[in-house]
Amino acid sequence: MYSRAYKTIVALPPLLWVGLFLLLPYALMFAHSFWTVRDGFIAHQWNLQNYRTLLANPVYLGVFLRTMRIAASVALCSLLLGYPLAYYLSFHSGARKELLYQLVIVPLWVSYLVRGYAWKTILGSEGVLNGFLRYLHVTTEPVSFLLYSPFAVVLVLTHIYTPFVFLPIYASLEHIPRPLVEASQDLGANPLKTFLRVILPLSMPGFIAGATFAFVLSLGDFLAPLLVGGASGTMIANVVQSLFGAAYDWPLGAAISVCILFITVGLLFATERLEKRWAAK
Amino acid sequence: MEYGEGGPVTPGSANSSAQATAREHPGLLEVRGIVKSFGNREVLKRISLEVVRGEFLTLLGESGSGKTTLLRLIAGFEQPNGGEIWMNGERLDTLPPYRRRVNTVFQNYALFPHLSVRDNVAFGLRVKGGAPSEEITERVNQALRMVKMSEYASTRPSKISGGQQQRAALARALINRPELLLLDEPLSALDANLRKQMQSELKSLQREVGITFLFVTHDQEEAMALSDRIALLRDGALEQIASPREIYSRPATAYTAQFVGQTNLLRCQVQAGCASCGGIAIVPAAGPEGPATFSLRPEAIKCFPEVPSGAPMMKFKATIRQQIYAGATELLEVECAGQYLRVRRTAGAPLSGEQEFSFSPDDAIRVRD
Amino acid sequence: MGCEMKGHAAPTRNPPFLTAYAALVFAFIYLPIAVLILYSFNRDGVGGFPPRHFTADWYRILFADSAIWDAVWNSLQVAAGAVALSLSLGLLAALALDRADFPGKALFRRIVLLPLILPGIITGLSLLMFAVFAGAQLSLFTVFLGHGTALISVATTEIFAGLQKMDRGQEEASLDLGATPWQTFWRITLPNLRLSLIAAGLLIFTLSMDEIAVTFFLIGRDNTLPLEIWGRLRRGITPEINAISTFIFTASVVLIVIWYRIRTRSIGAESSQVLERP
Repeated sequence: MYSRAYKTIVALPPLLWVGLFLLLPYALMFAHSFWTVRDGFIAHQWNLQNYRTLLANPVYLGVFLRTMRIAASVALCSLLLGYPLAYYLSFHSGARKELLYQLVIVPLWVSYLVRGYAWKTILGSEGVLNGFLRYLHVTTEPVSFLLYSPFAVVLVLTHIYTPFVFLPIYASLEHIPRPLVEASQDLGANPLKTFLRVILPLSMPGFIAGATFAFVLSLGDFLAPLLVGGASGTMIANVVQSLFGAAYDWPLGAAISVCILFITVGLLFATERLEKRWAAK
Repeated sequence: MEYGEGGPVTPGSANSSAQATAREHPGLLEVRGIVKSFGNREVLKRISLEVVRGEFLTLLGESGSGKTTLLRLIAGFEQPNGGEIWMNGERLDTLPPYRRRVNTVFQNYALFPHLSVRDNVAFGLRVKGGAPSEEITERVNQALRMVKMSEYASTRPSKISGGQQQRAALARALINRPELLLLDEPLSALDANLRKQMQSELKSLQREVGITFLFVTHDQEEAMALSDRIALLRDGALEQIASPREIYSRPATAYTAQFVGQTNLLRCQVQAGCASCGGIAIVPAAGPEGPATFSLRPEAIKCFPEVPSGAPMMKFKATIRQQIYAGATELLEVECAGQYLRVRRTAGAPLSGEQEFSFSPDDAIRVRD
Repeated sequence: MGCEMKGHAAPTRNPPFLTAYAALVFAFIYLPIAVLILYSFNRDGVGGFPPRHFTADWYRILFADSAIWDAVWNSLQVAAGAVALSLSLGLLAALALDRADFPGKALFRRIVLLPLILPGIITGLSLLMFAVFAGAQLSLFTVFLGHGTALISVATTEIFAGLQKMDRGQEEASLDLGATPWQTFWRITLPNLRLSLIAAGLLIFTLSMDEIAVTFFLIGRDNTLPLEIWGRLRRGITPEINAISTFIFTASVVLIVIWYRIRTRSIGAESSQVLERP
């Protein structure tokens, strides 16, 4: 029904644009990772030096591992918070479901910066939480580990990504036909068993999607560490950032970025496969 | 009732170019050897037919017979893989849909939800430009009056019922004065009573307006009630094309006999002008010798004591297995030497056991398989 | 238990632990925001508990702060541009995905999604390298290009969903009645996509206004709002930031309520499309 001309007109501009402004830039980053810096300039000599540096130098490896740990913690905590919330909303919220759903969505739209900053004010030595604890005479000295630590980074990122994790899990749970749950109860399974054997497996696609999302985005985050991470909470993306800034070494920064990219894409690919297999069951 | 000035309405109208066209080409539309495949599936197999100007022609068939595909080819939403379509002596299938003098009433009406009924009806006139807005308004009002939708002119399609939507869709198509109107199972979404009502309205509308209608349906009763001619499609080929009476009383094939109305198919052996079918004989039996199938309608079989005198009737004995009452008539399922037949007669006293039945040999039609 | 439909089961009982837990999660999510709003009215600014001395001074200072408002204006320009760019390209891409078959279609779908699923720093740096490669000067224009490109798939996804829901017969009917494909696009296709376009536009606008990661690497001399705030945070906390944040929060809430209404309206509209009344 659509002529050749029509199809060409609609397909060509986006293809060209995406090719030029997405494909090409990503390819450039990829290319840069194989170059080096010489005398303050980027030399276009193809080599694997950057990758060797990453593998050999314990500093980079250390930061990388810390980043993975933080990302994993964020994913875990977001799940611990997001799943029960989604479960509650889906199965036990009754008439208020719509309203509660909107309430969960709202923070997603509130600026990342705003939320990160808010935690900064709460966690600081002069912050709200410390003030609160002193007011209650629980402590006399400010608690310092709250801010400028990996703990703070995990806390902030969990706060940011819990609604993100909530969404796909909620969608999965909503998709479970209620008659299945009733059938399970009818057959004698108590709520816990019903949950473990029926609900949890069926919500796996959303579970996996949410967890992956939280992990991947936390992996490459550089803002939260800058806000609340301090020296001990630096993540790999901060390293990249400085390599593109003061510590001028674009090729090395590109190499790290490529690694992050591969991990991300690889993880997403793997979970997509997993989701498909789970859904097919 | 006045449809409006100008345009080809009926042969012999005041428009001389229409008359000239009508003389030159009594056949409005010619489908020549059309082939259409979707992937590996051949949906239309070298099908040819002609649509006569001013007629109400129905494409009848089961789902998958290709009737809707043929309609869409004529409308221009599909391209044929082989063959040609001609209209008024000019090639049609090479034109895009918006240049064909053909309009369609869709199965789900496809009314534009963001426009009022009035704007829907006016759409075809507005996009082609040319006509001043007062003329458009006048023609729209006329069209709405014709389908009795004037009071809903400013309403949105989502707020009117299915039957009303159908009328709006009709008006929207007809206002453009197409040479040919295509209707793709337009009544299938309506409930039974509304459907019957719309059938008669559609028929009288076509008569008044004089436009050629090409109607698609799978409902053979509907086809027989509405059509001047019926084209029966089967698996992408034309099985038979004839008037309803002809197709009913002289079916060409066993499929036709069974699809249009009910029938009994008798498997017989023809020899020396006589057909023997189990416990039934048909004399005279025309055609070549050998195995043959005969179609005998249930209402053609008479039950003793209904036998009319004088005519040379074929007689046979059969046992009555079931008597199904249907109000005005009843259906008798009878068994004769292992063959099961159906007999229809006006409802009468309960019968049982063995009875004698008769029929005229003229009613036994020899059909192809 | 009676007749229950999918997703609308009557609660079997209200489990106390789960309810309390859910309430706690909600509290966790809203706590920082509540603190922010509360302390934006505190004379002593941030810190300490409880807040004393209610004042609206910070808001007064905020409104007088021209640098902030310049940044807001910059952000608005970029966001408006991003909406226009993403919607146009996204519309074309959605149409192409829906109607055309071309080599690399599956690949295109994935690449267009990448900016949304990859950490922003990667997309930002890639675009920076491209800008350098092309010899371009970093400015609001480069930021606009970055946002517009990164957010194409938001538009594509939303509009594609709208196209799928649309009754295909309408475009056929339009052509049948004599409208050319061009006329059909403007009179039938676009009006039907109105809700999708608005919803996508709102989302893109909000995401652009808040965008930091990609913007960070593409910014020139003029700051967008998030980066202006960021700069001040790096230099030291001023409680004025609380006021700004509260402001942003309120604006976000308004936008999301509008967006949600539009979404539910579009779902409502299509369910009443073809009524079957006798």
